[in-house]
Amino acid sequence: MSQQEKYAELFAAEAREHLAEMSRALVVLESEPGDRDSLDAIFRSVHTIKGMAAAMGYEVAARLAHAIESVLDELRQDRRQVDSEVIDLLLDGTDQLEEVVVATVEGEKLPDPAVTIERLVLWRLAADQADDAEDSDADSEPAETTATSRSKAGAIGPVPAGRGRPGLGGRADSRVRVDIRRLDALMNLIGELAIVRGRLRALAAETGLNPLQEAVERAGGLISEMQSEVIESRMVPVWQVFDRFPRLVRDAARKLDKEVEFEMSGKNLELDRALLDAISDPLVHLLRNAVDHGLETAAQRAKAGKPAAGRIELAARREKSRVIIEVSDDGRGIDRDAVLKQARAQGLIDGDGTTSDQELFRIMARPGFSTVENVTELSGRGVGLNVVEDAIRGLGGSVELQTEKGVGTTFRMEMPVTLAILRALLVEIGGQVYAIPATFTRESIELDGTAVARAHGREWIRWREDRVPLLRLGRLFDAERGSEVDSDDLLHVVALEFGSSFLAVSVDRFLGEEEIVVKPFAMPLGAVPVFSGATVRPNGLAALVIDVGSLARWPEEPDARIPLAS
Amino acid sequence: MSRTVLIVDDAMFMRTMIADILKGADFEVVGEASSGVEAVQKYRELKPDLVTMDIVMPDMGGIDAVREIIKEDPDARILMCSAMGQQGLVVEAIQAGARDFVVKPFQPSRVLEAVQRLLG
Repeated sequence: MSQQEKYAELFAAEAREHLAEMSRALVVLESEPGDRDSLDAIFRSVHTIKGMAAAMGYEVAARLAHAIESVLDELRQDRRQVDSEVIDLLLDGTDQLEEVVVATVEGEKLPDPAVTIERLVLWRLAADQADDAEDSDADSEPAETTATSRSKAGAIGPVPAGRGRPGLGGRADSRVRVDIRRLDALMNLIGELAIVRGRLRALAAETGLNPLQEAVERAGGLISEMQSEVIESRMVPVWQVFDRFPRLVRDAARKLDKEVEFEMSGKNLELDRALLDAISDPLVHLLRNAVDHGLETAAQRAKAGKPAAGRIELAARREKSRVIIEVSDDGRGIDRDAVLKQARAQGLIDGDGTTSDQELFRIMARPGFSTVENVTELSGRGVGLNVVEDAIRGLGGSVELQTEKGVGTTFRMEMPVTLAILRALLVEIGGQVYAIPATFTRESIELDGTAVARAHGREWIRWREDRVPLLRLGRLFDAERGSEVDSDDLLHVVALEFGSSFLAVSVDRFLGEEEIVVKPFAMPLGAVPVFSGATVRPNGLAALVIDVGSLARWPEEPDARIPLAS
Repeated sequence: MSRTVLIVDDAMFMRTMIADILKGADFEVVGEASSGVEAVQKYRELKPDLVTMDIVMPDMGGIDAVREIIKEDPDARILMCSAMGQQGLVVEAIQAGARDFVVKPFQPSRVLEAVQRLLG
């Protein structure tokens, strides 16, 4: 290898690392504009690339790097502030620099960075002229991040086709794209393994051989580790979806001629890929709603003594194994009275009385409610919340509403970090263990058998203020064993809420809540689909996961029977 | 006897290039450092005849490293290796005690000339 080749290879490898570092730090800087460490890190990286490129005689790369560095220098000297415009510019520059570096190393035709360099230079020149103008611009156009998602995804996300060239030796090359179905398949196999582990453990215990038992325990530990590795590998940072929102909010605001300040936080939080895809549409919906209905017009805001620009925040954070995503605005809030009036007019509710925020949400999330056209004006909200609620519920999550008239509205979505793990209430029915996803359970209660009433050909109990249909799961799953508990003895009842309906189910025993790993479950043809999957308990035995949605639709045929899976 | 050098730069690329230039002129590269902090430690440890010092580095930049080294050894011979557009920093480095500077991209002859002068 010639000396020149040796340098070229070193250059390629180090430049790659620095480009990746730049993209990483830029993303951090965007969410935390005051983060000095990130700013310094970006500066050092581009500076290093510049020096190396100059030493190699890579004139184009050096020139571009120099232009980026000069912009960063303005920021480091506090002559200009970090805003979305400059982040965008820097991401574009980084993107272009990567293209130039790759083309240079590969000996391909170089892209011409003239336009990018010009923009970088112009930004610096604009410094002197527009100190004041810049502030107001930044406020009115917070979503000026046209190319953001593209550049970030290109830089540190999954490697787009044609980008991760072999021979560059950088970080991007050590990633592969995997079809999520493969990971699902892997997850399933691990589930099967866990079942075998349970059997092995029992057999080993029978032999009474210590070394064998130890080996089985060790294998069990490894299986658990494998499980968490697979779950981790399904995780992607939320910015992969969030990054298109600034643009979306900006466009919506423009269309409605509103001023919006949009802020996102927690963009580096990682979520299960499938989950992230599933919440994308609901978030789009909530953000559009916030701009359209949540925020007042500039004139209305002025009258209310609020700043002209409305504020919308999208925040993601993790709390243990749950993810919280909040969409908030500082707009007009929801007009409770108008919503209730409308709901009564439509016959969706009856009577008077106060409502909590959550009850208000229940009403607004009813499918019937959303179709009324003028409600949006009255309520400041109301289009298609049922769509949002269904989607989040479907993921094993929940939606909460907090609203105050004149102050603003927050939608708080809580869901599991991964679809593969679920919090569930474990119950025993007919000697078998079943899991009920905790998202749907509202209360576990013990009732005297005499509290059950019969009406309309089925059983009911009173729960809180309502009469709720009772489904005896013992009877549903297995007629004979079910009949044993069909007495006036103490009943163990779980109150379930699904969508806007309530349902009570009786079980033999409560076993407590647990985090469970759900394996999709191939239902035998013709079977009644009341199970959504199976889980393997720590003791290695399988438990069926009850699909609350199908139970909620069940009651019409109280005499139906479902054969136990065992 | 060949003279000893400590090369300080956060890019391995640059360290390799400087090392190649100096080795060709009968220098012995006794150490490399990739940050200011490391440079100060290695200098203390190795007492090299010469240090080549990058300016922009993580964990203490080159100028602060020069100050630290000069504080402990006022006779230290340090050659700043700066990139284009850092004239201001070069001046600062020289005030801090660096003896000379070269600008990247390096011309081997210019580097060697500076080094000879510095040690001469």
